[in-house]
Amino acid sequence: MDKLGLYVHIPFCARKCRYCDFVSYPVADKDTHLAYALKVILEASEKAQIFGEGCSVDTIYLGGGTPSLIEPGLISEILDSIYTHFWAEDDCEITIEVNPVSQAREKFRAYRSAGVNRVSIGVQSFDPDVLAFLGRPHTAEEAERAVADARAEGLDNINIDLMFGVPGQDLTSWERDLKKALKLAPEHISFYSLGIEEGTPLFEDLLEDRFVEIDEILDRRMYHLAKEILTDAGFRHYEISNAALPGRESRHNLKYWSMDPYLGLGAAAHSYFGGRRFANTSKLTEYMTAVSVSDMTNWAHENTPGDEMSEFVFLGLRRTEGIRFSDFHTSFGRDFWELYGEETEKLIRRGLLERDGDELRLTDLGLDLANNVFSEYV
Amino acid sequence: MSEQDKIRNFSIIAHIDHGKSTLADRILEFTGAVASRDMREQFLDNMDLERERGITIKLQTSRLVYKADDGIEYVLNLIDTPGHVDFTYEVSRSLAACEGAVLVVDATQGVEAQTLANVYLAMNEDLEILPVLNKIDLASAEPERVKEEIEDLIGLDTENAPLISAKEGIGIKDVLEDVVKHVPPPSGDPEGRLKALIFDSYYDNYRGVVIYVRVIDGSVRKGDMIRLMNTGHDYEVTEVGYYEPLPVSAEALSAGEVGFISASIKRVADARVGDTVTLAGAPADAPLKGYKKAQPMVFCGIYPADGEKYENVRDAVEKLQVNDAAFQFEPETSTALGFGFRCGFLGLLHMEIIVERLEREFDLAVITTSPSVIYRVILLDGTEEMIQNPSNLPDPAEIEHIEEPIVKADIMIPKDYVGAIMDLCRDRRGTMLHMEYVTETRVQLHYEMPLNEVIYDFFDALKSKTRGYGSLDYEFIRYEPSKIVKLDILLNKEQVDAFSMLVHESKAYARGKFVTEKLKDIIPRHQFEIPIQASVGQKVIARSTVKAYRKDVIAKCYGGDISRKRKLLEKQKEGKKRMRQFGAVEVPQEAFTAVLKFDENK
Repeated sequence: MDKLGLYVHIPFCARKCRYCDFVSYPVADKDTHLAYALKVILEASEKAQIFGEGCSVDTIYLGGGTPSLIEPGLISEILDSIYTHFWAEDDCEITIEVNPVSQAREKFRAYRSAGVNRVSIGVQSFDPDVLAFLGRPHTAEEAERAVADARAEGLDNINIDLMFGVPGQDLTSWERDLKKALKLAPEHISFYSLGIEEGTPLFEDLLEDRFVEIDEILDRRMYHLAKEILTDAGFRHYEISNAALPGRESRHNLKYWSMDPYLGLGAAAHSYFGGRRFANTSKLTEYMTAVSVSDMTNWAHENTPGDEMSEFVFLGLRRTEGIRFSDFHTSFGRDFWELYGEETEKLIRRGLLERDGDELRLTDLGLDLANNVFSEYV
Repeated sequence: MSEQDKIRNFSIIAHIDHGKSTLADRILEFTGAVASRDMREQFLDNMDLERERGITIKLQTSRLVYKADDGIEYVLNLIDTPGHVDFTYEVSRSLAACEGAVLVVDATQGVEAQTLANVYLAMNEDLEILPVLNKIDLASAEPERVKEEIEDLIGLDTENAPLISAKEGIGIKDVLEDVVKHVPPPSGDPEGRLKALIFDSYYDNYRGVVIYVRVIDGSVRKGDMIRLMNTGHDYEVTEVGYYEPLPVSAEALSAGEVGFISASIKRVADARVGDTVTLAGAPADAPLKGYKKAQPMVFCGIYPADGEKYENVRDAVEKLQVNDAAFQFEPETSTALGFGFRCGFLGLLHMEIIVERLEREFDLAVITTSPSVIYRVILLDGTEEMIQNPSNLPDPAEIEHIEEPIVKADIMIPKDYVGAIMDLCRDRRGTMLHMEYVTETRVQLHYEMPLNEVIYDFFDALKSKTRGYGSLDYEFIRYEPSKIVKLDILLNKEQVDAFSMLVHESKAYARGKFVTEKLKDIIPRHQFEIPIQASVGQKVIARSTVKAYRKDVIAKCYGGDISRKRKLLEKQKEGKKRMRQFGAVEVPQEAFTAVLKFDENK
């Protein structure tokens, strides 16, 4: 049976963080949350009919926005509807993203009884200045407490999100963040370099010269430091921005890099199924008033064989283990070197890629300049 | 009344934008040569590029029939003139084909530098000049003040000058009556030996080269064997006719008439403007005066951009040359840019027009190198070389001295800007000859200035510093010894010949700094640091550095939104395609044009 991942987007936040360019609306109104959850439930049943046959679901990911903003009961209803309409595997990885402020122990308890077995906590930093700069709605203490609460409620697969490359941050404060995070004994740590995206308040501030971006060299030092500290702590750096204790890698996120199929539910959710990529409208009212699944889809692209091959390479290379030429051949019946030999040789010469028998992966330098590598394959 | 007595040959002369083309359109319309419903705006400017820039490049000429108030039908030959300082010689030949000129002066602007320059050209040809005040419909028109200016500056009587609005069609008849009454009819000898002046030519796919002539003496008809006196070649006439304004065949062209001759001439360069047509069997004893071979003043390299075929560029420049005797080219090779062409132009505008035509009419992607003038290089062994390509400059150890072309520049500006423009001219190594108040508010400055200072962006600077009111006219006067050095640009320690330029010693540092800074902004960051240096000889005079990038990675995952990543990567890849590789350094094509524009405010 084909394994399927499900992504559920909860596009609500108490307020928007200053760096955030994800689709999310500052809506605290409980009726809207309820209506939205019902819509997702409807979508789940319809999508299950269209795509679910012959598939079993082995990962579910509730992301946002802030999924922990809405009532845990709604999360439970959404998950129940998924269990009803899809065939969920017994060891299905079910993750929910939570913000440190918007939960209490009861919430974790509710999630757990709804089947959630993995939480991703948006800690970002333990440094008050960094939290303030990012516009995070919580304190360092609340973040620490959240991790402890999740653990206390028996959630034994915890991710902590951290951010580096934040103006005002230095190597010492970043090292402190990493060590504090490790002290909380998570199974997984995501460490993202701050990207200042168009349309965010931070971007506006940057244009107005209200702050100076962090030096790239310092950003990379922070990245290298994180890799080193996490590896020393027994973590495996398995994707550009992710490290986990062996066996605790996010199975859901790995699907994105491995060309495995997934379905998105909710506004702005993306899907990849049967060689086709498609996405729901990101506008809340459009999503809410859509009369059918096809009505809420506002973008779709049938991947050509060329698209499939290039995605196999540039997505696969995000994993530190890289790609296998034999897998490429199995998937496409084509020889990788015949297709991409020239580009690949050049990137190897530039020290961005390394070949190891059947495998091709980014070097340490390649991890820093990954877009340079990827753009050769699109 | 003889046939010649009913002919009036005239041009319209004006400063750019004073309404020359619009008046020509109205005259065509008024005389019924072109029905107004068929009227494309400005019929005489028939190239799109000309239309956009509001200037005339290739001439159009028209034969019109006008029944005057005296009841007689006159034949009016309206002879167009090019409208830019680069084409002075062509203007003078067009004027030589006329007996009179209508001088259009914008009643809101008054007399400008090119107004005067054109008037002097017309006076040299002994033309009857008829002043006309245009744009009289505008609230800001000051006809009385402008009339006074014309009287003071040019010495023309303006008492009966027509007040017109070409745009609104006001006063057109007055202009035509003036032409009929005051422009003298031609007075050549119809029975004499053929003498006809070539004032323009163009290439026609069916007829070959078609030449525009004004017959001075004698006549010419189909089947005649003609001789072009300066080039010395003979051709058989296949057709003669008039432009009305579309071509119409005629029996013959006789003394006083204006029309076309086609004689299966292959290249425009064989039928040069200013040459004299005579009959091979009964030649005139001497050609008409004033013939000059068009001499390119400005040169640059034109190369196919990445992905463009050399052959396509070659075909295009060949086609352009067929129609433009002043445009020259020869193949050359650059280590940086590969195979291309060294091209010669009358001036910077001429160059811009040719490059734009290559890009637009021929849909080519080309790279142009820094424009250069021709330097006279005197070697120690006493020989001399004319150098316009910096790469061909002989070894400095062999050079005795270098001379550069100097022009006389006449600049007309409102008096408030005198200080700013004197600064500009001083900066451009100009020497002031004298300055005069042409009116209470307007000043004419006369300078001698090196041509290489004029061709960069002097005209743009003049315009911007005078809010568009400044005007310029210039002509070559002589060569003069000068301290010219070769400025080289090195990327990652390797010289890129396409960036080399010859500059005055005093300008080397500023230009070197400008180019290195500009390239720093344009060249994207690489995996390694790229030093950019400007050097004169072995000495580095300016430098900048493109820092190495350390980070280029999308950190986030966006819930499986791959399209967003793909778009970003595709954009990145697209950017790379437009790059040219120099050693390990990738340079965007825009770099070559960006270093040409010297923005001194920066």
